[in-house]
Amino acid sequence: MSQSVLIVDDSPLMRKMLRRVFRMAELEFASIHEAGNGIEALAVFATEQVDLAFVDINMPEMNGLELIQRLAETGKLQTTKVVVISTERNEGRIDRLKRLGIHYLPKPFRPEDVCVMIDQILGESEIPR
Amino acid sequence: MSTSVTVETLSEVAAQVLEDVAFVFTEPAAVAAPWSGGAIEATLAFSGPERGALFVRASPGLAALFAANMLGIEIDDPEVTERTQDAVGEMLNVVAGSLVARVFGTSALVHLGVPQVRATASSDPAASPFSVALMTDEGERLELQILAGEA
Repeated sequence: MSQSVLIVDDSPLMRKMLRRVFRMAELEFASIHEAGNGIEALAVFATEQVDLAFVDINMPEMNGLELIQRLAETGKLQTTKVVVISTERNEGRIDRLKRLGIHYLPKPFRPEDVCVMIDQILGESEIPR
Repeated sequence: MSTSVTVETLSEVAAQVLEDVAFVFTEPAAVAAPWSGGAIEATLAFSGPERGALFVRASPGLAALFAANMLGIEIDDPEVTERTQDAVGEMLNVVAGSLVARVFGTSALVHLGVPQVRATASSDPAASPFSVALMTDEGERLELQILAGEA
Protein backbone atom coordinates (compact mmCIF):
# COMPACT_ATOMS: atom_id res chain seq x y z
CA MET A 1 0.00 0.00 0.00
CA SER A 2 1.21 3.50 -0.68
CA GLN A 3 -0.28 5.04 2.43
CA SER A 4 1.67 6.62 5.25
CA VAL A 5 0.39 5.82 8.73
CA LEU A 6 0.82 7.60 12.06
CA ILE A 7 0.12 5.89 15.39
CA VAL A 8 -0.47 8.34 18.24
CA ASP A 9 -0.56 6.70 21.67
CA ASP A 10 1.38 7.36 24.86
CA SER A 11 1.69 3.61 25.37
CA PRO A 12 4.63 2.09 23.45
CA LEU A 13 2.94 -1.25 23.98
CA MET A 14 -0.21 -0.10 22.19
CA ARG A 15 1.87 1.28 19.33
CA LYS A 16 3.62 -2.08 19.01
CA MET A 17 0.28 -3.89 19.19
CA LEU A 18 -1.02 -1.92 16.23
CA ARG A 19 2.16 -2.58 14.25
CA ARG A 20 1.65 -6.27 15.00
CA VAL A 21 -1.94 -6.11 13.75
CA PHE A 22 -0.74 -4.54 10.51
CA ARG A 23 1.84 -7.32 10.09
CA MET A 24 -0.67 -10.05 10.87
CA ALA A 25 -3.09 -8.60 8.33
CA GLU A 26 -0.24 -8.22 5.81
CA LEU A 27 -0.94 -4.51 5.54
CA GLU A 28 2.30 -3.10 4.19
CA PHE A 29 2.18 0.66 4.44
CA ALA A 30 4.72 2.90 2.76
CA SER A 31 5.74 4.21 6.18
CA ILE A 32 4.60 3.96 9.79
CA HIS A 33 5.36 6.87 12.11
CA GLU A 34 4.78 6.96 15.87
CA ALA A 35 4.03 9.73 18.33
CA GLY A 36 3.56 9.59 22.11
CA ASN A 37 1.16 12.52 22.38
CA GLY A 38 -0.57 15.23 20.35
CA ILE A 39 2.43 17.55 20.30
CA GLU A 40 4.71 14.87 18.90
CA ALA A 41 2.00 14.03 16.37
CA LEU A 42 1.80 17.62 15.17
CA ALA A 43 5.56 17.53 14.60
CA VAL A 44 5.09 14.51 12.36
CA PHE A 45 2.24 16.20 10.51
CA ALA A 46 4.51 19.22 9.94
CA THR A 47 7.09 17.18 8.08
CA GLU A 48 5.32 14.12 6.70
CA GLN A 49 2.32 13.33 4.58
CA VAL A 50 0.02 11.26 6.79
CA ASP A 51 -2.80 9.41 5.06
CA LEU A 52 -4.12 7.46 8.02
CA ALA A 53 -3.74 8.27 11.73
CA PHE A 54 -4.69 6.09 14.68
CA VAL A 55 -5.18 8.36 17.68
CA ASP A 56 -5.66 7.62 21.37
CA ILE A 57 -7.57 10.16 23.46
CA ASN A 58 -6.11 9.96 26.95
CA MET A 59 -2.53 11.16 26.56
CA PRO A 60 -0.29 13.56 28.48
CA GLU A 61 0.86 16.95 27.11
CA MET A 62 -1.78 17.14 24.36
CA ASN A 63 -4.62 14.64 24.28
CA GLY A 64 -6.27 13.18 21.21
CA LEU A 65 -9.27 15.52 21.23
CA GLU A 66 -6.98 18.57 21.29
CA LEU A 67 -4.91 17.06 18.48
CA ILE A 68 -8.01 16.47 16.35
CA GLN A 69 -9.15 20.04 17.00
CA ARG A 70 -5.79 21.33 15.76
CA LEU A 71 -5.96 19.07 12.69
CA ALA A 72 -9.46 20.37 11.93
CA GLU A 73 -8.33 23.99 12.29
CA THR A 74 -5.40 23.49 9.93
CA GLY A 75 -7.36 21.59 7.29
CA LYS A 76 -5.42 18.36 7.84
CA LEU A 77 -8.60 16.36 8.30
CA GLN A 78 -9.33 16.88 4.62
CA THR A 79 -6.27 14.85 3.64
CA THR A 80 -5.85 12.51 6.61
CA LYS A 81 -8.26 9.83 7.70
CA VAL A 82 -8.31 9.58 11.48
CA VAL A 83 -9.32 6.59 13.61
CA VAL A 84 -9.75 7.24 17.32
CA ILE A 85 -8.93 4.13 19.35
CA SER A 86 -10.03 4.78 22.87
CA THR A 87 -11.86 3.67 25.98
CA GLU A 88 -14.11 6.71 25.49
CA ARG A 89 -17.79 5.72 25.63
CA ASN A 90 -19.56 9.08 25.88
CA GLU A 91 -22.12 9.21 23.07
CA GLY A 92 -21.91 12.98 22.73
CA ARG A 93 -18.15 13.03 22.31
CA ILE A 94 -18.25 10.12 19.86
CA ASP A 95 -21.00 11.80 17.81
CA ARG A 96 -18.97 15.02 17.64
CA LEU A 97 -15.97 13.05 16.39
CA LYS A 98 -18.05 11.30 13.76
CA ARG A 99 -19.42 14.64 12.54
CA LEU A 100 -15.81 15.64 11.89
CA GLY A 101 -15.40 12.51 9.79
CA ILE A 102 -13.43 10.70 12.47
CA HIS A 103 -13.76 6.94 12.71
CA TYR A 104 -14.05 5.40 16.17
CA LEU A 105 -12.82 2.05 17.43
CA PRO A 106 -13.48 1.25 21.09
CA LYS A 107 -10.94 -0.48 23.33
CA PRO A 108 -10.68 -3.35 23.83
CA PHE A 109 -10.48 -4.20 20.16
CA ARG A 110 -9.66 -7.38 18.26
CA PRO A 111 -7.08 -7.35 15.47
CA GLU A 112 -9.81 -8.07 12.95
CA ASP A 113 -11.70 -4.96 14.11
CA VAL A 114 -8.72 -2.84 13.01
CA CYS A 115 -8.58 -4.61 9.65
CA VAL A 116 -12.30 -4.09 9.04
CA MET A 117 -11.91 -0.42 9.93
CA ILE A 118 -8.98 0.03 7.54
CA ASP A 119 -10.88 -1.71 4.75
CA GLN A 120 -13.88 0.52 5.40
CA ILE A 121 -11.74 3.65 5.33
CA LEU A 122 -9.85 2.72 2.21
CA GLY A 123 -13.10 1.76 0.53
CA GLU A 124 -14.60 5.20 1.07
CA SER A 125 -11.34 7.07 0.57
CA GLU A 126 -9.69 8.54 -2.48
CA ILE A 127 -6.34 7.53 -1.00
CA PRO A 128 -4.74 5.10 -3.45
CA ARG A 129 -4.29 1.58 -2.10
CA MET B 1 -18.78 5.75 41.62
CA SER B 2 -18.36 4.63 45.17
CA THR B 3 -22.09 4.77 45.66
CA SER B 4 -22.99 3.30 42.28
CA VAL B 5 -20.68 0.36 41.79
CA THR B 6 -20.67 -3.03 43.44
CA VAL B 7 -17.69 -5.27 43.95
CA GLU B 8 -19.45 -7.79 41.73
CA THR B 9 -19.55 -5.28 38.87
CA LEU B 10 -15.92 -4.38 39.39
CA SER B 11 -14.92 -8.04 39.41
CA GLU B 12 -16.96 -8.87 36.30
CA VAL B 13 -15.63 -5.93 34.30
CA ALA B 14 -12.01 -6.60 35.28
CA ALA B 15 -12.22 -10.30 34.48
CA GLN B 16 -13.82 -9.60 31.10
CA VAL B 17 -11.18 -7.03 30.17
CA LEU B 18 -8.37 -9.41 31.13
CA GLU B 19 -9.90 -12.00 28.81
CA ASP B 20 -10.54 -9.60 25.95
CA VAL B 21 -7.26 -7.69 26.05
CA ALA B 22 -4.72 -10.27 27.14
CA PHE B 23 -6.44 -13.66 26.88
CA VAL B 24 -5.90 -14.15 30.61
CA PHE B 25 -8.60 -16.14 32.38
CA THR B 26 -9.15 -15.62 36.09
CA GLU B 27 -11.45 -16.52 38.93
CA PRO B 28 -12.44 -14.33 41.90
CA ALA B 29 -10.10 -14.73 44.87
CA ALA B 30 -10.05 -13.61 48.49
CA VAL B 31 -9.04 -9.97 48.89
CA ALA B 32 -7.76 -10.57 52.40
CA ALA B 33 -5.13 -13.06 51.32
CA PRO B 34 -1.63 -11.76 52.09
CA TRP B 35 0.30 -10.30 49.18
CA SER B 36 3.74 -11.76 48.84
CA GLY B 37 6.51 -10.58 46.58
CA GLY B 38 6.67 -7.49 44.45
CA ALA B 39 3.97 -5.95 42.33
CA ILE B 40 3.29 -3.64 39.44
CA GLU B 41 0.91 -0.95 40.71
CA ALA B 42 -1.08 1.58 38.72
CA THR B 43 -3.50 4.36 39.60
CA LEU B 44 -5.89 6.15 37.28
CA ALA B 45 -7.98 9.13 38.38
CA PHE B 46 -11.47 9.73 37.06
CA SER B 47 -13.95 12.57 37.36
CA GLY B 48 -17.54 12.83 36.25
CA PRO B 49 -20.76 12.20 38.15
CA GLU B 50 -18.39 11.06 40.91
CA ARG B 51 -14.68 11.51 41.46
CA GLY B 52 -12.14 8.97 42.53
CA ALA B 53 -9.38 6.72 41.34
CA LEU B 54 -8.91 3.14 40.33
CA PHE B 55 -5.94 1.32 41.79
CA VAL B 56 -4.58 -1.97 40.53
CA ARG B 57 -1.71 -4.15 41.60
CA ALA B 58 -0.62 -7.17 39.64
CA SER B 59 1.90 -9.85 40.44
CA PRO B 60 5.01 -9.53 38.24
CA GLY B 61 4.19 -12.85 36.59
CA LEU B 62 0.72 -11.68 35.63
CA ALA B 63 2.05 -8.36 34.35
CA ALA B 64 4.53 -10.28 32.20
CA LEU B 65 1.69 -12.45 30.88
CA PHE B 66 -0.27 -9.30 29.96
CA ALA B 67 2.68 -7.90 28.04
CA ALA B 68 3.51 -11.15 26.27
CA ASN B 69 -0.05 -11.84 25.20
CA MET B 70 -0.78 -8.27 24.15
CA LEU B 71 2.35 -8.21 21.99
CA GLY B 72 1.99 -11.79 20.79
CA ILE B 73 5.48 -12.78 21.92
CA GLU B 74 6.85 -15.47 24.20
CA ILE B 75 6.90 -14.67 27.89
CA ASP B 76 10.67 -15.18 28.04
CA ASP B 77 11.25 -12.62 25.28
CA PRO B 78 13.46 -9.80 26.66
CA GLU B 79 10.93 -7.24 25.47
CA VAL B 80 8.35 -8.53 27.93
CA THR B 81 10.37 -7.15 30.84
CA GLU B 82 10.42 -3.71 29.21
CA ARG B 83 6.66 -3.65 28.71
CA THR B 84 5.18 -5.03 31.93
CA GLN B 85 4.43 -1.62 33.47
CA ASP B 86 2.98 -0.36 30.22
CA ALA B 87 0.79 -3.47 29.99
CA VAL B 88 -0.63 -3.01 33.49
CA GLY B 89 -1.30 0.67 32.79
CA GLU B 90 -3.11 -0.15 29.57
CA MET B 91 -5.10 -2.87 31.31
CA LEU B 92 -6.21 -0.39 33.97
CA ASN B 93 -7.09 2.13 31.28
CA VAL B 94 -9.41 -0.33 29.54
CA VAL B 95 -10.94 -1.50 32.83
CA ALA B 96 -11.63 2.12 33.77
CA GLY B 97 -13.27 2.91 30.44
CA SER B 98 -15.47 -0.17 30.58
CA LEU B 99 -16.36 0.38 34.23
CA VAL B 100 -17.39 4.03 33.99
CA ALA B 101 -19.53 3.27 30.94
CA ARG B 102 -21.25 0.45 32.79
CA VAL B 103 -21.75 2.39 36.01
CA PHE B 104 -22.49 5.91 34.74
CA GLY B 105 -23.87 5.06 31.29
CA THR B 106 -22.74 6.39 27.91
CA SER B 107 -24.43 9.77 28.24
CA ALA B 108 -22.40 10.82 31.28
CA LEU B 109 -19.33 12.98 30.74
CA VAL B 110 -16.42 11.28 32.43
CA HIS B 111 -12.78 12.27 32.28
CA LEU B 112 -10.18 9.55 32.70
CA GLY B 113 -6.64 10.44 33.63
CA VAL B 114 -3.44 8.87 32.39
CA PRO B 115 -2.38 5.74 34.33
CA GLN B 116 0.47 6.30 36.78
CA VAL B 117 2.43 3.06 37.02
CA ARG B 118 5.27 1.86 39.21
CA ALA B 119 6.99 -1.35 40.21
CA THR B 120 7.29 -1.97 43.92
CA ALA B 121 9.14 -4.54 46.00
CA SER B 122 6.32 -4.72 48.55
CA SER B 123 2.73 -3.68 48.03
CA ASP B 124 0.44 -2.31 50.70
CA PRO B 125 -2.44 -0.38 49.13
CA ALA B 126 -4.90 1.76 51.04
CA ALA B 127 -7.89 -0.02 52.49
CA SER B 128 -11.04 0.26 50.41
CA PRO B 129 -14.43 -1.40 50.77
CA PHE B 130 -14.47 -1.65 46.97
CA SER B 131 -11.71 -4.17 46.44
CA VAL B 132 -11.67 -7.28 44.31
CA ALA B 133 -9.05 -9.92 43.67
CA LEU B 134 -8.67 -12.19 40.68
CA MET B 135 -6.35 -15.15 40.30
CA THR B 136 -5.26 -17.36 37.42
CA ASP B 137 -4.99 -21.13 37.65
CA GLU B 138 -1.23 -20.66 37.98
CA GLY B 139 -1.66 -18.48 41.07
CA GLU B 140 -0.88 -15.15 39.41
CA ARG B 141 -2.85 -12.45 41.15
CA LEU B 142 -4.45 -9.08 40.51
CA GLU B 143 -6.24 -6.76 42.92
CA LEU B 144 -8.34 -3.78 41.94
CA GLN B 145 -9.71 -1.05 44.18
CA ILE B 146 -11.89 2.00 43.80
CA LEU B 147 -10.57 4.86 45.91
CA ALA B 148 -13.35 7.40 46.35
CA GLY B 149 -12.52 11.10 46.22
CA GLU B 150 -8.92 10.61 45.12
CA ALA B 151 -9.19 12.57 41.88
